[in-house]
Amino acid sequence: MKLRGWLLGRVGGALATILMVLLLNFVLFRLMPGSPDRTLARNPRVSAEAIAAARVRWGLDKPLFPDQLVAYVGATLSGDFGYSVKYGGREVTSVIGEKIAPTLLIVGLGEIIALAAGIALGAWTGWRRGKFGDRVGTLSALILYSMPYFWLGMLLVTLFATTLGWLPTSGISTPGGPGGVAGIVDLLRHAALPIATIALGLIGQYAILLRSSVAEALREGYVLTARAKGLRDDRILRGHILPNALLPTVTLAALNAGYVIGGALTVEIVFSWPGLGLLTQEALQSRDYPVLQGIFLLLSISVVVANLLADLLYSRLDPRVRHGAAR
Amino acid sequence: MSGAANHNDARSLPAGANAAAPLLEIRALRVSFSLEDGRRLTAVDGINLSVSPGEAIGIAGESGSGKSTAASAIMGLLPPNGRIDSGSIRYRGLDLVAEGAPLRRTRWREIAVVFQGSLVALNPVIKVRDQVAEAIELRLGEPANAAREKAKRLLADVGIPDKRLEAYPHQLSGGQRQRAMLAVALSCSPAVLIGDEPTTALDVIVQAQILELLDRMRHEYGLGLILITHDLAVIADMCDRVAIMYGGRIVESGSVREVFTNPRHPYTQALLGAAPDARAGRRTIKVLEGQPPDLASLPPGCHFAPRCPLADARCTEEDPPTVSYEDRVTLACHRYEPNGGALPAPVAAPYPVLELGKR
Repeated sequence: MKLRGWLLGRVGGALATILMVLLLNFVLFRLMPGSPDRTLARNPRVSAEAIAAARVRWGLDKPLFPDQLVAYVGATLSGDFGYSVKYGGREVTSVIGEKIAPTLLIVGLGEIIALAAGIALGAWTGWRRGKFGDRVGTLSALILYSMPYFWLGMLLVTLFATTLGWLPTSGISTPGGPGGVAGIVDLLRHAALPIATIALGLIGQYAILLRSSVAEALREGYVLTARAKGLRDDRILRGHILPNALLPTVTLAALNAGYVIGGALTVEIVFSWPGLGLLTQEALQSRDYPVLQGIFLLLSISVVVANLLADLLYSRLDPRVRHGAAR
Repeated sequence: MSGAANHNDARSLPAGANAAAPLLEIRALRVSFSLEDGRRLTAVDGINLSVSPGEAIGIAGESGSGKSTAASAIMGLLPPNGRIDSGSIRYRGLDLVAEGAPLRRTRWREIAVVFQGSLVALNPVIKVRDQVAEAIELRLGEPANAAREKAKRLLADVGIPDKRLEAYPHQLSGGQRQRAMLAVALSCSPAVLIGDEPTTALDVIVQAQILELLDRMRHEYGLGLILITHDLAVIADMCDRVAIMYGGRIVESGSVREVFTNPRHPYTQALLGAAPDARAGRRTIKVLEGQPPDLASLPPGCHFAPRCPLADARCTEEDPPTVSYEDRVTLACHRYEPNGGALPAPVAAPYPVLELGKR
């Protein structure tokens, strides 16, 4: 099974990348000026013995390499990310953990909506390339594509929350609000604008990419063959063009999934949405290095995993890559 | 193959078609393209052509002579900037050019094409078997299973081994791909098959195999075959009749034997003389100087006149009429008797001759 060998190679490559990220994570924070024991030493009431004891306790008496590195990698691999500075010494894993779900909710739903709408818009405009509908559709996609998330978010807040008053401006729930089904409705009302912002911002990207691959596919010989076969337009588009033209879009969607964690930063700040983006901003402001380190690692891993996913997906979808790899 | 033989007897014709009318008949067909600078380019300039069941017609000419455009026009597949200006294309009496022509009905079921370069003509992400089955299912309305079975038989018939049934186009060799393309073309049992340079991209051995297969299918299915190629040897091997095209016009047509042994039009003479003939021991080639005409600004008169050694003033002023001689040969050349009648003797055009190196 050469396919298995290829697969092992890919997975191995991904693991190696994550290890490199770990190493970088270790080096980066130790390159920064200052160190925990020196912070401690600034306090004149802390005795030299206490500092020495702290150095031993934190493992700082050992050399950076290999002891400290091994200790860091070992702790990280066993799920010990250390303690947050800002959040009263809580474990980093629990601080980060409770922010994952809110982020996944808005970015995940936003991605799915954007993908569906972007594919529809891209296929439609690509098929009509050069015609009026294409120009309007592509221009709209381009405008959405070039809008920064935070600005788009503020526009939506101004329109739907401030002016029309249909939806709440920020937060994840009404303080002291209801529970049960009414609570879920309340959550979705709060999530609507962040989701819409992310979806609108991504639609243009998918639509423009797909439009160009559809327009390109239209010039291919197999489309002429499909036409000569007397197939209907929708069959030509769905049965012949899209299976080819969707390949780059699917890859992009898989890659984007890697930025689920980090991509929502500005959106979460605009809507005060208590997810990883907002957490990142707060951790940056309070120099909460353990939390930042944890987010950084999580981000890197999700990007690496998304890349692997895109690779595998592409090879599943395109028989040329599949067999090229298996050969 | 009785199955192949009786499908043509029993085939149902599209509404409005007449079984007694000629299989495919093209009359005074003019096709032009609009260019970006606003000019119009005349790619096909009034051609007449017909094909009967079981007959093979070769269309020969240089690139840009209009031969592939004619094929696109027959299929109703001209690009958006192309249009049929005048003339008619009739399939069993049914006008395919007229407004509201049932092209969806006739395509593939009546007239199918094998394009040049099957690597691009087949869809890279669909298994060849499914590409054959697709039209059977969607155009003939057969259930998916029956369509897949029929596709299997067709692929076996064109010489694709069973173990390659589930292959994708890129997993097949060039010859196998062209065989598969032929199976795709035959999937709805068409009455007319157009081969647009079907063997051009293949090496000589594979080319011979594909041509042999095409010939066998033509006889088995009673296909009317239109073979478009720049390769005269292919036409000599495969076809009953030949039409020589230049600048969008058919300058000479007739039986392959007559046209190839006694080429009368100066262009036909140049075309036939442009390749050395090893079998005849000929070591000279005729040199045709100049460039093919710019179809966007054709000069008045005979399109070939600027390159013709026999051209005189009349050739550059008047279009030569297409004249039929003894119903065997048509010619469009001022050097020949304009009132038809007996087949005239060829007038040799004095081309410069290039002597090939002697050994």
